[in-house]
Amino acid sequence: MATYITSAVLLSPQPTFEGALPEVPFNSRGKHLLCHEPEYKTLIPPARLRRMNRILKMGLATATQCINQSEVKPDAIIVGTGQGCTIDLAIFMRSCSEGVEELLSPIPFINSGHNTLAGRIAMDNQIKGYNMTYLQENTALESALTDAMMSLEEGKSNCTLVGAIDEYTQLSFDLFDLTNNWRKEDTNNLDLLKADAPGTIMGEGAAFFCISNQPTDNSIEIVLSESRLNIGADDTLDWIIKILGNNHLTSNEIDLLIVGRNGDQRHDDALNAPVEQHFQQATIATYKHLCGEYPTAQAFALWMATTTLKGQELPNYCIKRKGTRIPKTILLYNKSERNTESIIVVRK
Amino acid sequence: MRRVFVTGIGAISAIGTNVEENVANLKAGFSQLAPAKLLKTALNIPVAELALTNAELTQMAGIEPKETISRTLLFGLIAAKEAVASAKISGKDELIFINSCTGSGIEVIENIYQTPEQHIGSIPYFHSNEIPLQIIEALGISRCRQFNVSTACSSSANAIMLATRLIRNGKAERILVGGNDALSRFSLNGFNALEIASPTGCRPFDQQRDGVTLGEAGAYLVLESEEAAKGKDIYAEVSGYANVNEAYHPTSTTPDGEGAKTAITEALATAKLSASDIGYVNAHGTGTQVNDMSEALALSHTLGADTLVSSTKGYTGHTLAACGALEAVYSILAIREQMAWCNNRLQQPITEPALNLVTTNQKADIEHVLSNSFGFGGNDTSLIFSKV
Repeated sequence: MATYITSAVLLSPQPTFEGALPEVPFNSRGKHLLCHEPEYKTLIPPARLRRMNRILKMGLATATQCINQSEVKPDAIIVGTGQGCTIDLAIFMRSCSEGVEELLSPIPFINSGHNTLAGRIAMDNQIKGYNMTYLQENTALESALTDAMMSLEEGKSNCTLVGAIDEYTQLSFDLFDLTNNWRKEDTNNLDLLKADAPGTIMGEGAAFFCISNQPTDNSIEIVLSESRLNIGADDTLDWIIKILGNNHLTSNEIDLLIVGRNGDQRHDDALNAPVEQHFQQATIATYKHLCGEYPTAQAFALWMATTTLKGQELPNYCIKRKGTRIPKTILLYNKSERNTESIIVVRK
Repeated sequence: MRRVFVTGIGAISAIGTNVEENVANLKAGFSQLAPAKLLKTALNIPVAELALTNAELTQMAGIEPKETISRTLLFGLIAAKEAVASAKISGKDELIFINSCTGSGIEVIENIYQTPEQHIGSIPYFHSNEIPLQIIEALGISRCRQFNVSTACSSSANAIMLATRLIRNGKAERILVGGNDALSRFSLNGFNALEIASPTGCRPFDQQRDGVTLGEAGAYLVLESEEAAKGKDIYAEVSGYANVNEAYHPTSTTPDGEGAKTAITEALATAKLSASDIGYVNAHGTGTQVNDMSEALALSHTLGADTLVSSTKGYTGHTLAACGALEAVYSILAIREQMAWCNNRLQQPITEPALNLVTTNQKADIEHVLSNSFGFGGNDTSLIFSKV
């Protein structure tokens, strides 16, 4: 049974919330990028906003916009996150790690729960069906999509809201700075993929998709979503080809390949070049210079794929290698040096 | 729809480091809820802590000693290895791994974050994949599809539901699924700040109950399709499941147990069973006023008044993300032993609504067990395990 993306909304460091990539992309020098946030009070009642942390605001606003734009209303919610609500985690950890373990406010503890957002969307929209949260470095979106596609197949859901979210926090930046994840020098994000330096820049984003078993005029088919942990095995390409084959696709049918290059010169080519070389016919596009690196960054690529299939021409600043075909079938590929790899295929 | 069988189980908790030790202490009515001895905390409230140090657990897990190691990981390693061994599978067999934690190794992070420069080797625990990655590596698996569920206290019940659906729908043949959580200052202070941590030790379904006692555990199941399980010893079948959301409150359940009623009813429907088929209920039963009352109302509304009901949290404490899998193992053991486990520490059972609360371990004909797990965020999950 086919499943379709009936609406897609992305909150990112680019002005994407209104539905398209800009002509001129946002750029700045630094080691991280922050989301271009909307006027939350137009989407969330102000009384509720006051009690929310930033990631909840980002998630709830994006989810609300996505539900509003879908012709079919969701009856289930699945959220994927790599790190969850880290700000409140840090606040509560600090408050109970300083020897004073009494009279603490429970609010940051409640808000630090990884499924707080999925629960909150359910509450605000009275969606009482299946409610799930995946907490996975780099592959939470892929798990959420797999689950959603299966729910639709089972007939348990007619439309599932799938989200992917991660926020920039000082805590995660500082911790991963110690393990040399980030650039040591300030970098203009638009130069990220050109520079010959170790490390990348940290980003963030919230993306929501309504996935339905009923196609609408503008809907895009989501064909597959796969991921795995891979400890050192050098068979990524075989794995991709096999999955495509299982879904009655050949490599030659891929018109556009969106890769997760993040500008880290230590890993970029090793992780991406073999796959880029294999898909000879395809245009190759990149995106992490627009949003930075974060665990659910592949959601940026999925949103980009949906806008492309709806007819927005892929801006030049995304194109790494130009092919000749108009994109109809798109493969998203993201592999990290921390043993995760994943692919998603969507088509018109 | 394909049938889904349990072919392996593994469990470690405050009452035992493997399945048989857990069974022995369930039978003996043993539990020890007392202030933490190993966890460094200023809070003087009872917990269900396993009396083994990380060094002892490291040895038991069969891995090299490290300066800093996550206790959550150690629980995971020990129980996962036991489950895999009991299912007689190896790292070479293709499998999917589904894990669940509330926070991944929070008990390590909370110690390092103030002086991270001194703990660089521990920073990987801040990656949510670190624990599953180390578990599969220790099992000798080099690649596998992996899911990591985090829905608070219903996490590993939802992980089992996901595993069951993947096999039923023909997407997988064999899945290792479970959860792990060690005691942490973070969780202990969280429940204390919410004013639902018991000052006296939890007493689920007691009229005098005064809150949750936190525990620690790791528990795993190997689930296989009927075809893959051919010729193997089968512990039970996962026959029913449901997850719903109450859409009511961030941390509290509906007073009338509306969400739990729906989850139980839908789980019975997936299993094609009626209420009278359920021989024993392993309730979520945390020991808080609100949870136990709303769950009791849901049980009395959906099941017959004579159905045997207990919460085993009086033995193990509330093991958060691990409790769904740990209680799944206890449910399966109730089928194996034909024994309904008692509500340990229960003195004055609630009388309204009328439930058949087990006060001492009781022999019974148990064909089907209902296991409930409810989490913050309005997350209600019911599973049904059946005798094969």
